[in-house]
Amino acid sequence: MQNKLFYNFLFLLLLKHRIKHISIFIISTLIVFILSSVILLSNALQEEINTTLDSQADFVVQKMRAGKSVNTPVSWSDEFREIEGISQAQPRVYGQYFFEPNAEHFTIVGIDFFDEQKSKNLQKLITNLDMKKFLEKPNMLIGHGVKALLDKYYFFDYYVFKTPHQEKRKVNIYQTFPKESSLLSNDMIIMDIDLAREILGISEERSTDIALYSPNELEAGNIYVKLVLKHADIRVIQKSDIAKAYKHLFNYKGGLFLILYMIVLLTFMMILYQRYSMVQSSDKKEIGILRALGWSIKDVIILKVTESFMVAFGAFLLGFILAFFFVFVLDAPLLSNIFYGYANLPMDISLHRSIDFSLVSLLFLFYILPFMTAVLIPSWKASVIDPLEAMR
Amino acid sequence: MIQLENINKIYNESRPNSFQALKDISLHVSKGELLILKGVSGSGKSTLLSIMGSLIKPSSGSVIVDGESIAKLPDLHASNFRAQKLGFIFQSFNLFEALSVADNVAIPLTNQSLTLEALHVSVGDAMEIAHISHKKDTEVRLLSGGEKQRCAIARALVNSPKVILCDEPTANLDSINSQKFIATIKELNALGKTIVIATHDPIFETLDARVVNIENGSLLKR
Amino acid sequence: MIFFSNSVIVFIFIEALLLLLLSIAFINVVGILKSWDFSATSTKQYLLEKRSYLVLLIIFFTLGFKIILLPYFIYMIDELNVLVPGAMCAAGVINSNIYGVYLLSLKVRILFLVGLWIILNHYDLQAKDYPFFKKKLWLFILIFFLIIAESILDIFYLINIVTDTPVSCCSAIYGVSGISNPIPFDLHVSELLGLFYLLYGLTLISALYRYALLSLFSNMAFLYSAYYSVVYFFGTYVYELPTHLCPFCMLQAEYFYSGYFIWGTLFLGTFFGISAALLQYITGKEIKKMYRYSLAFNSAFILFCSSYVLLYYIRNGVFL
Repeated sequence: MQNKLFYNFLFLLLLKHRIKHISIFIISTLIVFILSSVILLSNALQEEINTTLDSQADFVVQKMRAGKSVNTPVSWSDEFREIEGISQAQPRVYGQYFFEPNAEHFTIVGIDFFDEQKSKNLQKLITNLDMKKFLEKPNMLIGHGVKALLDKYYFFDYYVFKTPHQEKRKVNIYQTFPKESSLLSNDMIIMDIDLAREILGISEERSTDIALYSPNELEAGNIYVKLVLKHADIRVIQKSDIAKAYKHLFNYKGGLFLILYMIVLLTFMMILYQRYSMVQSSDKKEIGILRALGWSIKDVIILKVTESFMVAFGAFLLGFILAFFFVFVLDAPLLSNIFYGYANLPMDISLHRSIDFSLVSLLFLFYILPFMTAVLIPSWKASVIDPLEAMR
Repeated sequence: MIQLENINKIYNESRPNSFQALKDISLHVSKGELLILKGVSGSGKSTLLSIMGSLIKPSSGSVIVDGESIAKLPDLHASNFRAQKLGFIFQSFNLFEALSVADNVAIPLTNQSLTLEALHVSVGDAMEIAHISHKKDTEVRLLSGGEKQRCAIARALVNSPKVILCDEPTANLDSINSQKFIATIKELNALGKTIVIATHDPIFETLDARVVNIENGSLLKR
Repeated sequence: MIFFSNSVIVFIFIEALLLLLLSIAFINVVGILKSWDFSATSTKQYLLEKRSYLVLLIIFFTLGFKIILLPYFIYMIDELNVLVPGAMCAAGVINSNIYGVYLLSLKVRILFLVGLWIILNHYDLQAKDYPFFKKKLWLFILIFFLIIAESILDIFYLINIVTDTPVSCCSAIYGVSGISNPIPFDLHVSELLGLFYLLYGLTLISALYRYALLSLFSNMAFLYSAYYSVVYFFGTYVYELPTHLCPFCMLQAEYFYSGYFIWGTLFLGTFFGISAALLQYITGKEIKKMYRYSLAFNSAFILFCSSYVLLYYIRNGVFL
């Protein structure tokens, strides 16, 4: 649009006014940084969860009694296998174990190592396992957070569980899961299914719930109906419900943040407005000269607005790049705690890099519009100054 | 070239401190003429000059420059008019100190949709006529007073204006540079430019030019 | 609750800011309209002229963003389909409550008026005496009130998006599975197509010979028939499925975003055709360029749509 001379002039002006711009630049960068970090983190976590969820069971069936889920009969899985569209029905054994010394819970997951493991996530964790050696003695695989806790209480090689029947069971630590799988495995203990049944007090004919896999997702609605009709005391959880629940959770946390952040942005707008409204006499003189020499008000407005836009854009680039670095290279210390919550053991995970155009444009719009809005009226005020008075 | 009819200019009208700067002024300047507007400061000569240059709009009356009525032009057209037909030389030069001579000279043409080559040619020619080409890349703040004046002259010439308006051009010059300035004015006038100079510097009496006296906002009949 | 989706929050925030700016412009416009007298040379008039630059700046800024917001709105709606049960594309989300369709058509109409305003402003500034100044301010006032209505509808629409009961997807909304024929005047597709090409021919003639009144009515009718033709005929060739009837699915990535081109060229072509006539009425000037643009965009639209059909025939030897 404008030619090279205009930009030459513009950059010289930016340089000349750099002291005025620098404070705004720093604040803007900070604002973009915080905003982008939160949004990037939230998005990355969602992606992680989605990929994790992808390999989850399509349906989870539980037996209900008095509004609570109770141990589900293993025999039910035979019934479910008969339903068309269900490729696999796998009874699962897992539960929470209360670790008294630190008053926290582990998740114990029992795996039938001779059965084909449907859950891709669990499959990932137990590949390369020498099953024969593992099943020789009572052994367990533990997550990173569990290891840290057990180490704290000097349980370096084994732990002694107390079963609900007041028996003690010593289980050896076979291996610890790698840090990369922490989102899934942090507070998890994997052991043989019968051993898990013992420790959790679940009888042989029962399981915690039954996981069902159906490859055709378009049939989900029909299968859901069939499942629900099988028993009066059945609860069926669909994978899509879980996905939606997570999305709502993230939306909620993210949305709340954005709304609060609007207050920050509005304050920022007022600062901008004030700052750019203070037109010093030297600035006035410059504009007066330009106007006298044939620059129209429109030209001067374009100059002023572009000047502000350059500051805004530069701050956006810097703030975004810093946020990217913070979230994906430094793994967002401090900030991640807000999202992970304190319910589980503190985690240490490396996030998957994921940004897309719609995310960046969302951030850009959310930031640039308030900025430019605040700058409009001051730019106009400066441009319509009477050239003669300005040059006096 | 310039026709002013019944020009009045009142500042702060309908307020207690209203002030009439110009009172019913009519003035004609022919093409290629050299006119001196003589008067002390506060007499209204700068205001009159500014009205000629469409920098100020009159309270009443008509202003026609080069056949175009400029009294009520909207800003877009007024600024276009200034950029294409007028050149200004101000009392305190009014240059951008941080920019080079060439950059300063190019300013009037920045928004005129010229190609870069045409721009360079115009800038080069203007600097030639003003005898400042040798300093084209020097920052203005490093120039002497006389050199700054020549830079201002070049800027006033870059758009090949029909009319050049000067407001107290020698106020910040020593006598040597003032003489040089007068010589340049003669050159420009010889090129066919219509020149109006608002000044009270007696040095301009050496010029062979029409002199119009202005006092308290009115033209004096000699 | 839909409100907490990131893109929705950002959208509402931006709309609120733009509305604030427009309100400032509106207040100034009212003040200007009251006392504007271009022939006057008073200080007050010159101040008003200065004010008008602020108004213009705000209008350009906000309306420029509004133009960006419409495709963003459609994109946002499309994204929301994962949260609305049963919706596979924007169609389901838009139709999840009664406000959606009215909102969308209002947005398109506003965009049309904005385009008209921009062109009117351009010609007003070109002249040396602001000949259409008051007219363009009145047009702005109209646009302003429509935008207020739009904002209210926006809120109503977004609040009422259901996230727990399933909505119909496009095949149910646009389908011929019902008893009644969704195409107006009970036309068959072949009759609709005939009318469609005929109307295009009329717009062609009106653009070539610059008949304002013909351009106005033929473009309006063409727009109307084109909408139905795209949904019920050309769209099926984009999706290569005779039962897939949907104006929104073609905006998605899997169809190469061709929907944006199709609706974009249609909008621009009919916009220029209709505005050329309207502006001629308002300004008394005949603007050749606009007829040419109308011709260009309408033709691009027709060629693009027809090519889908032709290519399909060439590749498969039959029509759908």
